[in-house]
Amino acid sequence: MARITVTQLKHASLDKKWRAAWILDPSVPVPIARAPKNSIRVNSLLFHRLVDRFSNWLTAEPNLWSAAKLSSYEDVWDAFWNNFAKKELLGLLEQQGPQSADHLTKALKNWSQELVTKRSVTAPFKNWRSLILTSEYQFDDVPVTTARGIIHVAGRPDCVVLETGGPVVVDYKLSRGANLKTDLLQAAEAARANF
Amino acid sequence: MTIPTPPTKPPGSVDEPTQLNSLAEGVLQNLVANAIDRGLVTIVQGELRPEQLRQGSEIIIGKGSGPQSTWLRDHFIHELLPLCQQQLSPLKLTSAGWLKVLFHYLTSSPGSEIRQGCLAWLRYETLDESMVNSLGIAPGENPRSEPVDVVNNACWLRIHDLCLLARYYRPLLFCFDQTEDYQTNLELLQQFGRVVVRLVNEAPNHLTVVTANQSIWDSKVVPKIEDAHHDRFSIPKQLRGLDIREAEELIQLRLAPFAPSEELLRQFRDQKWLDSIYSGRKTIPVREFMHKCRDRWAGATTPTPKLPLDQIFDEYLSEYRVNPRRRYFDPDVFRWLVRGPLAADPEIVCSENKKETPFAELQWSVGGQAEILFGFVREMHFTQWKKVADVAEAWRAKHPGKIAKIIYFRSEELDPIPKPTWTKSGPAIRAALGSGLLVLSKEESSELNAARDLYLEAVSGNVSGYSGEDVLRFLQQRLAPWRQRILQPQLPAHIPEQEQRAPPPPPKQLFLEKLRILVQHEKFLSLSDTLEKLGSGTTEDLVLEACEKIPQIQKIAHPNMVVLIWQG
Repeated sequence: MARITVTQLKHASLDKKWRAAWILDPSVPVPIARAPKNSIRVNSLLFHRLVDRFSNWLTAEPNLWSAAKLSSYEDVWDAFWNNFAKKELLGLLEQQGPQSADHLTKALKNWSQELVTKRSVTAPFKNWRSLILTSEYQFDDVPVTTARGIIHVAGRPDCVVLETGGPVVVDYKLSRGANLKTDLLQAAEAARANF
Repeated sequence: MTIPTPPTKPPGSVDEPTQLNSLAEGVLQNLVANAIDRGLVTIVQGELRPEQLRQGSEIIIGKGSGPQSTWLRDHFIHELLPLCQQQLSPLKLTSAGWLKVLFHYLTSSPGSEIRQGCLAWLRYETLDESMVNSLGIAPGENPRSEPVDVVNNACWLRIHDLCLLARYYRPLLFCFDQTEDYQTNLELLQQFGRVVVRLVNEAPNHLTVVTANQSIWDSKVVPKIEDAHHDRFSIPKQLRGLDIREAEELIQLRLAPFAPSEELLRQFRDQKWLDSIYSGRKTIPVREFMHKCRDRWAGATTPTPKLPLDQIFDEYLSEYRVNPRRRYFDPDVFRWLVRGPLAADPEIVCSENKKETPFAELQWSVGGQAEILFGFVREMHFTQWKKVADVAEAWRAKHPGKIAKIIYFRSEELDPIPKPTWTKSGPAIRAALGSGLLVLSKEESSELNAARDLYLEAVSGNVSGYSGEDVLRFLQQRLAPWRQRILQPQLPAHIPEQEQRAPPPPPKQLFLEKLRILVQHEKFLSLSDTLEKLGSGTTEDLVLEACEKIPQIQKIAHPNMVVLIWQG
């Protein structure tokens, strides 16, 4: 039986060579290439923490009714900024300077935009629970049927959302490169694995 | 008099009122209120009560769009002004033009010619005839530009008049900051003492505050101030250091807005660390404590390494790049540069020379090579520029074989010299002064103003690891190209490209609104992203200028990036 983690699945989706090697023989380890570091810190942990907190807030019982009204990007980002992001980003600005803070802000805005786009195609949308099934949830050996047989997926994906085709596992990737937006979308799209 | 009924709510303005706006508005409104109280103005229709003028902010003579504001504006000069003017006679103001100037200042747009004219009048600078006519003041009210003693006294009387007028609004607060620099110039220090004495003895309705670094004040400033002057100061309010309880409280207050992680909070709440820094002393100066916190925040086990001066200077520079107001012409900056870092060459002898013209103050004699005069005027009448041009020609003739010229620094917000309207005298002025008119770009203004600021901060002990002397040595190197530029031969009839430019128009209301909505929605975005989102035709300068008018937008400048943050 072959095993693949969510992180490996993401790379399998993004890297054709890596995927071919893994399919050929999953037992042979293939190094995962990482982008070179530069001076801007991406603050991936903070991104995950903020998104997780906001996702939980959107889907928490007491907020369901009021949060469901957040339908536009402006509304969602306004709520995200005022309730969670502002303090952290201003702290980051103080600690690491404007480039890091700007980088993380863009990532959070793109995430908000993506969330609104998903909401617009979610039918019927009753509240955010209609879209966000879970965040930061540990999976262990979830069987996925593929043309080549069953794959068991393990790991802790960042989010599982419900789209028209079924649940979608989402793993966020913060790029250090200049094409942050493209990279984020690419990663989010490519890392989908329909159950 | 008929006052139209007001609408339910006057539309707001994104312009942030200046202190002068508030003072002018307050003085005029109180004078009109007095006139109503005395029965000099009778309201026959609509509503205009004295208390509305004295207490509320619903009526704004300067820019209010409500019917009462509009009515007051439309009727002020011809009907209300005489009623206000007569109330001022017991004050014995030196000038009768105050109310007209304050009114025109209030009702003109920021950056407009009229407003600049009002500001020039307040600074006691000579106005063009056309400006005197526009303001409606008598020709005798036009400030003179010489001799310098008369000008200095007239400037003092402006301050005195302003203090007298403050009784119709609120007392004024004058603040002398960065007084540490006075230790380096005995003449300046003595003059400072005289000014404080005169303010305390003669000017009403004000409070003068002098801030100083205690140790420098006690050891280097006070001993050089005359006893009679020093005796005019009240007992100093000394900022004592923080005890350990206050230190804990400060940590809590400073961290609260950033909601730091638990881990960081634990770091700062560590009693052992606090005990260690308070070991052997009960208090720590606030600045020193903040530095220790900064190091701890950065996770450093040892104090933050000394940053190179050019890196610190770049940080100062970035502040000036994004704040147009900080680049406005300040003659003291240029006086200091010409006497100090720019003259740092053994060949250059800098001395005072006011003999040639009252509009030049300093002279560089550079061996057998150059004789340069420097003037530090903001605005002058065209006839005075013409006189300066004649002096420049005579100066050249007096020093054959040498580079001989007069230098005037012109920052970006000043009118071009010669003005396009000076059709007769303009060409002669341009030909005589030529490249002596140093028209500064935004970057150049930023560099020169930041240099002065960095030096003053270092003298005050605010540049960690560097003294004023260190900074001065650094600036002498950094600003060396300016020395070369000043000592270049005069270029005949040189017309710098920037000299021809009209001052940039102030941002339009529509643009301000567009920018306000963008930043309000985005909350946090870089200046480059702002330009991209606002589309073609938008420049950095336009956005930064507009930000000055939207108080909710905070600009954070960094050498590599500027970000705009919504503070709603």
